[in-house]
Amino acid sequence: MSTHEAVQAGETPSFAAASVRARMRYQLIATMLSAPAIALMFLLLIGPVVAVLLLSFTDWSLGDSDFNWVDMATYQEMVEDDIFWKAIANTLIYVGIVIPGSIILGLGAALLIESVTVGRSFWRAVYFLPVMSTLIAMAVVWEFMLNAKFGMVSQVLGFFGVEAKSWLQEPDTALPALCLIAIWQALGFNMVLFMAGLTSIPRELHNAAEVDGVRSAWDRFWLVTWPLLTPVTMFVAIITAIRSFQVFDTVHVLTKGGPDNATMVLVYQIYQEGFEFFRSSYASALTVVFLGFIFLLTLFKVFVVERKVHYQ
Amino acid sequence: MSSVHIQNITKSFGKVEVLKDVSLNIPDGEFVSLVGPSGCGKSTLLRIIAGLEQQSSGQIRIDDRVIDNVRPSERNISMVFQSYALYPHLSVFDNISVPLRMSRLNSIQRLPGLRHLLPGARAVEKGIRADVEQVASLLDMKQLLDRKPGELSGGQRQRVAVGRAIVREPHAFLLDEPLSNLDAKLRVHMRTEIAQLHRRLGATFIYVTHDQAEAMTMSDRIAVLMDGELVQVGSPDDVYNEPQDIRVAEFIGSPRINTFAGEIRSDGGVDLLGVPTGLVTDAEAGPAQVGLRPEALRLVPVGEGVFAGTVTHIENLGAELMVHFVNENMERPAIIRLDHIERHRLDVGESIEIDFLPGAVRLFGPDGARVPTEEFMEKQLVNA
Repeated sequence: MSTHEAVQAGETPSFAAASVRARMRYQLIATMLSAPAIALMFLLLIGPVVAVLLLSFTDWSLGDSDFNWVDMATYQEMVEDDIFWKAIANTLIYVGIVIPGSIILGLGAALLIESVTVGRSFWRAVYFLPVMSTLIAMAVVWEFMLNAKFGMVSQVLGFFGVEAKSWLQEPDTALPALCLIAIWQALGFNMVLFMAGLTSIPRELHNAAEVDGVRSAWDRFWLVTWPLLTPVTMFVAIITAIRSFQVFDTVHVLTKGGPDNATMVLVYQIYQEGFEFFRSSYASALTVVFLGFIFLLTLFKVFVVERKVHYQ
Repeated sequence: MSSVHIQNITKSFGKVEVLKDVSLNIPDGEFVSLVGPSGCGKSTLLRIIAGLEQQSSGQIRIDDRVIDNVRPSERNISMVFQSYALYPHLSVFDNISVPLRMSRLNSIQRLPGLRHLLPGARAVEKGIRADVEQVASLLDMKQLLDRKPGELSGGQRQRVAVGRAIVREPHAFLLDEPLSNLDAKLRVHMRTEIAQLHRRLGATFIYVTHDQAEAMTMSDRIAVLMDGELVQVGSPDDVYNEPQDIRVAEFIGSPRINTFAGEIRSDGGVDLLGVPTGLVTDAEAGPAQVGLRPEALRLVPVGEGVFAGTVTHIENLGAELMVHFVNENMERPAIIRLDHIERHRLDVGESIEIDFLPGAVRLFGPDGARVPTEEFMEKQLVNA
């Protein structure tokens, strides 16, 4: 019976009662069948978030047997905490450098590799190596490279007359050095995504551009390549943004947030407060702020990216 | 507008030779169709003319200018692609204006956003708008200018692709199966429209298709490509009535030409299924193939036919009737085209007798090439 017929049948009272009962049974079965999934979702996904949110309104520390509700006191403390603002600023600077840096270089690498005919898979593998290696292990390598005395970076820069520094120990170069490592690591991943995007551009579009009088690679990039890569670029930007917000491993291994909080970022502060100072409630409040940023990114992705950049 | 000269073009992809010594001169303003089955090299030839593919040897000239080493963007040839290849992020207006912007704005003025700001660019942009609107009204799509290609139907997209091709004044238009993505009804309609457009513009059109009906209905001349070779070039009438190769005869015309096993006797007479046809030829004796178009066959009363057959299938097309028949000497059923008035006389399984005019017979040798024939009666008179 089609919906239309069902509606017509529903006009007579006895049928209506029967159809209401049928609909309720249908609803009940549907609810029962989805109950396990919903329960797991609350337990594993929403539950922890709610727990963190509740925790941030208490004065609980790890190991305490009791706690008090303190309303907004923790947040009050956070707003007055200079390190918190420093961490927010550093995180935003970090994200602000790593996103454009890894996108432009990743796209550049993808375009260059696409344009060569020999050794394409070799270059792809080379650029992808940092993605596959463990960043903690590679951070050790970077620590040597950035060493003031025998580091490769210092030696090469010294060749050009730039004074050697302990790049990771100086307040004004430590954060840029971490950004450099992050770009180095994200570049390969973004490049692979861009290469996939490039191969999905129909060849006939490039042919059409050529016939339409497009002479230079520059014009072809702006007319065809870049607009058709917009969906990929947005995706890459969001992924890179989320990963950059989560930066922790290089900070922990190389600088521990120093010198003088120059590399203190949000997640590292959460780690310090929660697991070094055992101030669980303060760490929770920081986590709520962190989740707020991620939530904003997600909203941006859903409402801007997914609506605006698909052509077909 | 210009003439296009194709001289001794060959093209190989690795060891596969796709084009073998193709030569064709296309005078200014002609509509030429390159037609052939898929894989015959017709699209490759078109892409070589456009410059999107480099020939292995041979020469392409536009008027007197050799363009072999000229990039596609410098050839001033426009092309309509099979997939239309519209820029999906640009509106219809912007799509059509791309060729104009590329030629009239410099590379700084072309940067996104700047063409509305720089004073020089604004004036050029005004001219471009006028030209695009003129093309839009010519193609009757002014109301579509603000839409994106994704919001258009197949027929409308095809029209935009044509608009983008005609908005500048190129030396020639290349069309690569532009109608193959449309439904049957629209295809017939667009056939007429493109032919009219050609008449109005008076430009040189090179049209690639695998659909012989498109080639027949639109072209001044048809160039039939088979396995990379140009087998025959001629007017639609020529190609249909005087095919120079059995492959051309079989490719052009729907339903396809009937071919029967034939023989050239040692005295020069031509037999069809063992029956004399009333034709003679100077060619060597031996087996041959006899081609007869479905409309060249006639249904005649019992006892008067040259050969007989049994009806296996009847296709009723309303105005006409395609009757499939077979006899024990034929390898596959032949088709006879009848006017609608003769319909009720026939049924599947019925025996019929067939006759034909000797003048309608097309004789092909064992290699597939056309063999000239004469009607026996005339020859006799000449000899006497």
